[in-house]
Amino acid sequence: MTEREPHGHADRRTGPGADTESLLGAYVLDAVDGDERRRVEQLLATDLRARLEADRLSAAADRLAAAAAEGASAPPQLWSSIAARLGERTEPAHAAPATVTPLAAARRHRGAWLLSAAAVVVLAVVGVVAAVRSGDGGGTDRAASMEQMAREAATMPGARTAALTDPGATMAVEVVVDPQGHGFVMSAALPALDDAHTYQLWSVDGTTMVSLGLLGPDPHMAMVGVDGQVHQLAITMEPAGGSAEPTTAPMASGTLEQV
Amino acid sequence: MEPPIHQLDDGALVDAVGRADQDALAEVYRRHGDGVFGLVRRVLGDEAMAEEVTQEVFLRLWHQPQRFDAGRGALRSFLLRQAHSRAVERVRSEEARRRREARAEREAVPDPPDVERQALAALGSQALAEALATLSEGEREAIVLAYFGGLSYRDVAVRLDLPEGTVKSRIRLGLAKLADRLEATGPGTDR
Repeated sequence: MTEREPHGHADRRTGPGADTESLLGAYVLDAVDGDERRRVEQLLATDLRARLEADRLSAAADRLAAAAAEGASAPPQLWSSIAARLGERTEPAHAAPATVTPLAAARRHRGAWLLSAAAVVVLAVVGVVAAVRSGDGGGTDRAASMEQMAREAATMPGARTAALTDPGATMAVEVVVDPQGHGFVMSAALPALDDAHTYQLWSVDGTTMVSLGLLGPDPHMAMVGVDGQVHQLAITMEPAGGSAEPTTAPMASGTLEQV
Repeated sequence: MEPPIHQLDDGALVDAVGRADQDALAEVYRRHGDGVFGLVRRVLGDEAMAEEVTQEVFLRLWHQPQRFDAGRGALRSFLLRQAHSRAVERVRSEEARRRREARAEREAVPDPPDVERQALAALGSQALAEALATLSEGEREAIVLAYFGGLSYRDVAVRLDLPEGTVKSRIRLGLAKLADRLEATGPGTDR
């Protein structure tokens, strides 16, 4: 038996990308190791064709899951075991109360690429596909690779950039959005928050602010979906877990401009 | 006025979970708890571990409801994906623990549980058997061992004594065939 690509994929591509692409099936079955998973997720963040294939394969895996789940019965006491553990965390990551814009409505404004990137779901936190904290030793490679992707994105025709800052220019956050709506958020100067708080990125349209994602308490790099309708961006400090609409005034803001 | 919990769709339920509404989580569990447990038990082959992993899946939804995005698919699919990933993590940590214990006792690493038997038992499901019937035996074997046995493609290759590239290809091609079938037949009736 020789190694070869599946029918229909042969000769599509050569080099390291092809090697990573060959992992797509195993990836959607959770049958890859951590390094391979990261490689696939980097590919999915930049390669629309790979994302579309991963979406199709994920749908097939969903069918396997649904078939296996069919007809099962959980033990009767299982719910009470879960209910008894709901208070285990002192700071559950819940969004703000119902008087604010529903999260579902906010989600409808997000970039179309996120809708198709189902395979990236494991890393998604309210729109943020991947984030690396400052001083996160284990995230150095990811940060370097995301920075590389951001640099490449900035050179694409139709790419947009924004420099988010405050009136005193004490904060600096650079955002690069490629033509497909992949946004790269890079913090050059943003004070670290305690773990009870998080930075949150918003699109601003007049007086309406729609969440684009949580950046965490000490962001260094993050990827987020930003669709073409978004022009103004702002960052606020929110309780950990984020808010459905801002609870504090923007700490930094800026406008996306064509490169 | 807000409709009764049981009339909310899954997206609205998760929004309510985001507001720390325990009744909403109970309703999510009522709709999907059996399925999550069923999938996890199929992968783990152990009732007690399956209960623990099912608890983790719903506690994770409770603490991090924002991870679910209604725009990107059904809640059931989201929960089952989470459940599968967690179950696979458990399979691998149990495997690592067995190996550590074997080393500590300076014994040969014992054979792992009968993964093939457990995984192929999954074919007892009519819906699953139908879904897999379109695949070649090699594709079916690779996918079943990886998905229901919780094995990495490398471990599948070792077990089947095949090159890793062959296993990767079989999994990818087999899933593509399943996807073709899905697209040809429309949404499944098995969820």
